[in-house]
Parts: sequence; C-alpha cells; structure tokens
Amino acid sequence: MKKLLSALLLCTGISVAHAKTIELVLYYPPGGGGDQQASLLIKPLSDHNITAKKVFFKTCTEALEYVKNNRDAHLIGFNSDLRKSDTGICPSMQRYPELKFYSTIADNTTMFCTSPARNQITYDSLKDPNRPVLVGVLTADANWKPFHLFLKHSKDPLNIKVIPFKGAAEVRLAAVSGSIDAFFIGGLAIQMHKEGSKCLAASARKNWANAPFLGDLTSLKDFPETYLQSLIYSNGPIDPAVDAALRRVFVSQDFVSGLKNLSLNHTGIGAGQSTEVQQRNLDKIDDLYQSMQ
Amino acid sequence: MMEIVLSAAAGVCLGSIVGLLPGIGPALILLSILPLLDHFDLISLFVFYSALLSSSQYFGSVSAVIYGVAGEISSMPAVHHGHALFLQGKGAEILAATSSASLLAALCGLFWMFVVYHNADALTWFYDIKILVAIYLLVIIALIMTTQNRLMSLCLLALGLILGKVGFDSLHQIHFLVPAYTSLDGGLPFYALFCGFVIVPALWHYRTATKPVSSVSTVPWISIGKRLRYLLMPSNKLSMIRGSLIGCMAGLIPGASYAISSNLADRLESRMKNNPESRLLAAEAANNSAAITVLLPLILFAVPIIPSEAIILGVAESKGFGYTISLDFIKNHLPLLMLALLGANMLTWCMAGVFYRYAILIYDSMKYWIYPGMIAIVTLMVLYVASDERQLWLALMTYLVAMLLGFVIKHQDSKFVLIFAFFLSDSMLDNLYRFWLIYS
Repeated sequence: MKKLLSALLLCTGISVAHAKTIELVLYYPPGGGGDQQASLLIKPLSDHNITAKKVFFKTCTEALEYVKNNRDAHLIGFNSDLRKSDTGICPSMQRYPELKFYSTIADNTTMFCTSPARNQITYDSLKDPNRPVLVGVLTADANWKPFHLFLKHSKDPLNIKVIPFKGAAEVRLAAVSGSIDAFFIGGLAIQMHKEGSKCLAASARKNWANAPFLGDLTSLKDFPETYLQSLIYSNGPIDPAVDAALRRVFVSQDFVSGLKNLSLNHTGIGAGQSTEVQQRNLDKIDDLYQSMQ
Repeated sequence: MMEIVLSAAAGVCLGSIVGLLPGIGPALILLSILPLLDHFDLISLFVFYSALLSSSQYFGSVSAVIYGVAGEISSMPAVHHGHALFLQGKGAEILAATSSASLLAALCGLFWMFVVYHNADALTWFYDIKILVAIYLLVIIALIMTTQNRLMSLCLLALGLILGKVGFDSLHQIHFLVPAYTSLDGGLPFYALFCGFVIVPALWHYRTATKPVSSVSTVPWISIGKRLRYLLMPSNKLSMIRGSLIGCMAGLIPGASYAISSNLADRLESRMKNNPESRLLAAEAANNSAAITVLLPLILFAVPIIPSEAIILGVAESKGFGYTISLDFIKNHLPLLMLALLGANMLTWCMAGVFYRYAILIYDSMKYWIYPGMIAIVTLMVLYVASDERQLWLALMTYLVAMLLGFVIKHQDSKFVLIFAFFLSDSMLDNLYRFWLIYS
C-alpha cells in the first residue's frame, strides 16, 4: 500500500511539475466570437499539458493592464480594436510597449443578416419607408465603422433603426427572441445562419454566405474591406513551452475543425506565416482603419 | 470533479456558520470573502454559492429554536413556534423534524430545476428586450417595496446605478467621471466600497446586539434513527409539502424570496392546521425550497433577485457568465449543479443532526470575538486587494468614506438595494436604452 501511495504521489508530482497554467484574457462580453475562439484553444492546449483559463474584463484598458502585469496572461482581441491609435473601446497599443503581438488566430467576416424569424426580409424591405428595420450593431469599430459607411453611402435610402450592443452574444439573444429584425456582426453570424438567418450583405468580398459585398450596395467607390482579424498579444516574448504548445495547437485537428465549423480561416503562425509578416499585414490594415475615420 | 466536491463542501461549511451566526447573512459573508471567490471556476462558484445558501437554511433554525435569536426575518417562525416548543422540552424532535423538512423541501426545489432544464430551449422568448426590462423593473419595485425606508432605498438605488456606471462605458464609448484610458476605466474599487459601506457597520452592529445565551447543557442529542423516521414517515408531511410548494413559488419573488417564504408559509399553514409544529415545519420547508428556486432567475437570465446573488453575478461575469450564455450554461452544467446541490443537502442534513450539539458549542465560543475578528479580516483583505490591483490610496479613501456613510445610514436592507443597483447598472441601463430606441 505504501508503495502504491508513493507511486501515486510521484505521478501527481510529475504531472504538476509539467503542467502550466495560462490565462486567455478577453474584453468583450462572454459568448461572442473572441470567447468562441478562445474556447477552441483550451481543449487542444490541455492535450499539451497547458491549462488555459478564460478571464473576462468589462473594459479593454483593464484587460491590457492585466496582461501587462501578468506574464502568463495572453490577450485575445481584434485588430480593429488593438491599433496604433485610441479606438474608442481600446487605448492605443503604443501606450503598452511591453505587450508584443504573437499571432493572428483567424480572418473574421462581418455579416448583415436577418433574425431567424424574420428571414423573409430582403434588401428591398430595408427601403420600406413605413416600417423601420431594427438592426443590432456592435459599437466597437469593426462593426460600427463599415456599417455606418454603408448607411451613409447606400445607393438607396434605407429605413433602418440602429440598436447598439456591446457583444455578439447579446445581439444573438436579441435576434433569437425577436427583439430585433436584423443584425450586423462577425462572431456568431455563422451560428445564426445555421439557425435560419439569411445574410443580405457582407463586409468582405470573400465571404462564407456568398452575400453581396457592402461596397456593391454603396455609391462609394473602393469601399474598404475590413479584414477583421482575431489575434493574441502577450507581455513580452511568449514562454517557450507555451509557444511550442500553441504552434502545435494551431495545426491540431481539434482546432482546425473547430475553425471550420465557424467558417473561419486560420491565418497565424500555424498557417505558415511568420509573426513579422503578420505584423506587416496588420500595419497595412491599421492604415486602412485610419483612412475610415 | 474534485473541485466540485470541495466547492460544495466549502459551501456547506460556510453556510452552516452563516446560519448559526445571527446577522451574518449570505450576502455579508460573500462580500467578506469576495477576493477568495476569484479562485473558483464558474461551475464551482455556482456549486459553492448554492450549497452555502441551502445549508444556511438548515442551521439558521438552530439559534432561532434554542436561543430565540432571529438572525434574519426568515427565522421569525422558528423563533415564535420553535423556541416555544424547545422550552416545552421538545427540542430534539423539533430540530430533527425541521432538518428533515428542509431536505424534503430541497428535493421539491430540485424538481423545479429539473423542469427548467428540460424546457430551456422554450425559454428564449424571455430574452426579448421588453421582457428583460419588465423583469428588471419588477425586481426593482419588489426590492424597494420590501425595505423599511423606501425613500432611502430609492435614493440608494439611484446612487448604486450611478456608481456602477463610473468608468468606461463601452456601449456609448464614454469615460464616465474618470479620465480616459486609465485603470479607473474598470470603475470604483467596489470591494473597498462595499466593505466600508455595508459589512463593517453591520458587523459592528451585531457585535453589540448579540444576546447572551443559556447554558449548552440543555441542547438535545438527536439520533440518526429518530431523524430518519422524521424523513421517511413525517408526521406532518402535508404541512411540509404545502410549505415546499409555497417556498418554490415564493423563491421566485424578487427582493423577498426566502426571506418572506417562511413567513408566508407560516401564515397560510395557520389556516390549514393551526398548531405550532405544523406551522414551523411548513415555514422551514418553504425556507429551503425557496433557497433553491431563487437560483433560477440568476441562472436563466443572470438577473439576481436577492442581494447575495448580485454579488455572485459580479464574480461570475468575470468568469464568462452572463445572460448571453445562460442557456448554454443550463444545458451544459445544470445537471451537475443539481447533483452537487443534492449532495450538499444530504451532507447538511447529516451534519445538522449529528453536529447540532457541536454547532451550539461553536456558536457559544465564537459569538464574542467573531464579529470584531471579521472586521479585522475584512480590513486586511481590502488592503490586500487594493495593493494587488495597484490602487492602494484610492481603495483606502473609498473604504473610509464609504464606512463613514455606512455608519450614518442605518438601513441595512436599503444598503443592499445599492449593491444590487451597482452590479446590475450596466445591463439594466443598456437594455432600458435599447427599449427606448426600439419603442420610441
């Protein structure tokens, strides 16, 4: 019995010694796109002896401060928020030189879709002057800016009433319960599409719903594509053990099939792009966002 | 799985202490240990909280029956009927019967949870913005109506809503009463605020208000056999069933919940069977079934209807809980939560029988130093959290100013309206704004 106990203690000791715990820090309300993508990382990371836990903050500044002060905390955010200048929701990343970009996770397309119970709505319905269409939109830049460009430069006058939300999951519940007629979001749009929503437009030319590109519906020439990307930031260079595990996770079956279910394409280091190349692409996109001010 | 078991056990232990010590309700104890709650994962947090809430009901009747001390308004029937029966020498029977009534009531409450679990998908219409707004308003009205000084509650509600909004508002993208992009974006250090405003004045009050107690030599010993007989062949089973059903419904009443369930069951039982024992058992059963169904609005809509739930919601939100994922939470975790709650109730039932005598001894030895001791612990924890969050001076100032206000404002029930408003201000005001946009 003593031997058995000793063996058990030894095994536990070894597993504890090898295990590492990291935190995935999020600044959007739970249930949205960032939350879903963080969840996709947790299971395969545990297969590599890394325990990952999600930590939610109400504001981006709190999340950035937390990551700045914790070596094992990794921020999961979006390039539309984490930019060189203040964005409204997030402070400029230049205020946080300690935080280093690690990798993108995926390309996210923002979709303009109907609620599941209102899928009879068409683009023509939006022009009906007698009844405004209630559209749920996130107030963060990635959704708010392209949507307002679209409204401002729409080829036809549209009768739309914008209902603002903080997170994609809030929009989803409002749509499912019938509070709004349509929505314009990235995260969770694919899920709503599977539940019966019909997508009327998209913020990118390449999109999973084959919906018309927003730019095709506007009078604005060269309507900008938003290139919304989810990404990871860390406090300084990432821990080698976590780096190795993440590189393996990015090509793991669990992660790849998970992204596929969300109709997302992986763009990060696991997809063969170096951090430097990704950083250059993000800088270009940042310039694009700047031009949309 | 071990985490779940340990969380349930911790909830039972703390709930027993909460029940035993008059005045220290679940909300007060949760506020005192707030920084420790951060270490629980989401499901363990709910298991801990539900076990605490449920087990506090078992032990709440001990001090009420034996000493005639009512720690909370829900203990009034136990004081009126239980203490009188105890003085007649029926203490053993009464304590055995009340714990068995509580267990039977818990099973009734768990049945309601099971019904919700099986119909979760049909509940999406509840998330309509106008329904959510109606729920918030109902909760506010009920909360204010159940307090003694309604004008004070109304003022504290407004103050709570304003204080809850201090910081960065990501819906309107404004920095409310704070400079842009600082650590103040997250708002006021609420742990220091509530410790100063609510906990310290309440502990100070109970330090001087605790009654002297009689000798513990009169405490009865209750055999397991006797208690099993009460559980399997209760002499007042109809009273228990009536009490359980009333409790299940009353548990859903915002603001009042289990606080009024026992009094309501007591009154109604008096019309059916007017003897002290049946009235006591109906009240105790109502107490515990309400302590389970009170969890449903929290889990379903992330709407807290009692102050302690508002505190738990505040912690749960940092772990990814909110009304936006509550349906998924129910589908994935409710069976485990129900199982843990059943286990916690069984454990408390056993403890309540075997350890009544020791519980009284603990109560007797702790009651003189527990309140000052808790004030010291709370103050140290405020300092620890503040230094951990690098907000020492701000937290200290908030703590002292809030304490001053807390001693000036005497209405404890109204203070909990402020806590409720503080934690719910974001979702409540955001949904009210959307409601106005949609229907204007």
